[in-house]
Amino acid sequence: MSASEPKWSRLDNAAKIFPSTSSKKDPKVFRFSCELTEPVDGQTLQFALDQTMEKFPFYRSVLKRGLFWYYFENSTRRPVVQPEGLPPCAPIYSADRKGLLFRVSFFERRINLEVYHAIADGTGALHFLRTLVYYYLLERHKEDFSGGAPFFDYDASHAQKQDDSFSRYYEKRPKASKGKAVKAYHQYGERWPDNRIAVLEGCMPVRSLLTLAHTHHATLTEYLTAQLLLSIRETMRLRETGRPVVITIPVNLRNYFPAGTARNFFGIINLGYDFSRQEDSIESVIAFIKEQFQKELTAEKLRERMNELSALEHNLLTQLVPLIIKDPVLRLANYLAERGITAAFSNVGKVAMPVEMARYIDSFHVFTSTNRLQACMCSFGEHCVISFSSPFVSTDIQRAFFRRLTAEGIAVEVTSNQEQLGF
Amino acid sequence: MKYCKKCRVSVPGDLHTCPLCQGDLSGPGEAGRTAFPVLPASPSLHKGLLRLIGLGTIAAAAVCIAVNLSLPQSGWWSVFVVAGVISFWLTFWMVVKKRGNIPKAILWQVGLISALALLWDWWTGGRLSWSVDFVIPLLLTGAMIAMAVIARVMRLKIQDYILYLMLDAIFGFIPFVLLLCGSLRVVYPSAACVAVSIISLAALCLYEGKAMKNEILRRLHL
Repeated sequence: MSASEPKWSRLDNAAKIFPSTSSKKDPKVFRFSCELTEPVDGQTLQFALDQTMEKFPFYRSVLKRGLFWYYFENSTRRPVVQPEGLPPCAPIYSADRKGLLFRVSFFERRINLEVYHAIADGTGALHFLRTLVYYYLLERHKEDFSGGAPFFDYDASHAQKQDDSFSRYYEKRPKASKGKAVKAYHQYGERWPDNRIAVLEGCMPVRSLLTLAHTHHATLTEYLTAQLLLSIRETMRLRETGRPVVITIPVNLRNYFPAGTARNFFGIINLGYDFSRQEDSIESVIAFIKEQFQKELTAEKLRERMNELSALEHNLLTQLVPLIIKDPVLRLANYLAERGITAAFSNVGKVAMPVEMARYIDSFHVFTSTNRLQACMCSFGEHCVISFSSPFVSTDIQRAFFRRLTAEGIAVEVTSNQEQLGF
Repeated sequence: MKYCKKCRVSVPGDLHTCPLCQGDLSGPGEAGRTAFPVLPASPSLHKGLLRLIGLGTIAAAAVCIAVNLSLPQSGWWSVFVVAGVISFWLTFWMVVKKRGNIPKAILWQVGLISALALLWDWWTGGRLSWSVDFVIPLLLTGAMIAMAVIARVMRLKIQDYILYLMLDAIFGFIPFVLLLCGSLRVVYPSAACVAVSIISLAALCLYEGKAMKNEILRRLHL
């Protein structure tokens, strides 16, 4: 292969849905931000980005259409750091305009990484942002680290980083039967113009949240999922209570199947709570969630689901259908799947950075483009940040959610992009 | 930091209303602690210009229809005006849509203009003459030359245009087939077109054979 000959690779199983279904309404872009304790310097950030790119060559990919499938093609484009000048999670991929599948911007004390979901999931992109922040601080505060660079914990070779872990763990097995999806309760109402999303971030002390969850004998994810379900319940109209409230929760498969990949490796589980038949006390909701998690979050169950989805892709008939037909079919499948979902909640978990750097970092934030209510959460040090992104003008669910937490004595600091939306 | 007494949340920055309940905030604000920039509302110039031209062409078509209706003895010429306006906007819209990828835009233009030419030719003459004699072979030839020149001038990477050049060169054999079938009255443009096609494909094979093979494999992978 000559030097100019580009390398190419297939999309992993989870990524295959994104190019077909991304639209102006939901461009399938998510954002990770790192808020520092000091203003960000653009030049240093560019320097750090160049170094990070050497560690993540896969991020140099562009997306192309083949006759049967989309694929990634390696490019020589150099990503350029920009002062933040676009609405959050603005579209990245366009079939008519080739470009890299992520962007890095900065505003005041924040470094933003926006990623098109086809190249990475939250965990994968977080590896990239952590590396970027690591190199940024290393360069920005050279004098602090003159005694040697701090130890950085992400350990994966180039090959591991771009591994397609779905295909690694795929095996042919007989199909498991599954239940029929029901139509879930849907929030509706006025939307922001130009497909913009409202972002609302609540920053809370980790410790008091954990204590609160533990008093209910629940993990943080279980407790907050319950609070979110109840917040949605509060804002439902009486005649709509017949439909179940379904929250979809992405699961990081790396926790169940060892993988160092910086690409997609996640599954999802759906939790449906029917308030017309089930009690609306926090205890019963938590009990239900715990039971569901115990049932669904097992390696065997997740592998079953993963195999099912991969089998679809490995089916010769699916392979032989031209992309022109696959696109609308996938859009339809996505539409049907979304009918069964009320909101999404994604806990990215604790973000780790070298201790020597902690004093320069205030918090990490994550949220995604969406056409329904979406909550994302991650924590760093003492700060846990829950971000809601929503296409709707109404903030009733978010208000109910945070009021439920402040009523329990949690201190919440709320930031939003409402000025940006001209509110 | 400001505070919302109803939601019991603190709000950094200098907002006037609570982001959660839109109620009033109390306490002193602090400047310079915002998380998102206020973006300038950009009523983009070219959008305004497009609308103006759009309205202009629609108005012209409407006036033509009105005049035509008042003077029915002059024949139904306004239908041509309307069809012309539609053809213009179709091609223009395609250029705007595909402007990010020039070789692709060229190939789409070849396809679209050829189709429009066939329609017009059939509609106005009742048979295909000038479209197959001149328009299609000249478009295909022009596109091949344009792509080769643009690839040079813009220093495009081979993988960014090889597919489009290849497809255009292959389509370049269509006039040749028509020529063999004897359905052409003027032969020179089609003969030139197939010659350029053969030269293009030969050049691609000889200089970029491997790249061509890999591109085909990539685009056709299962």
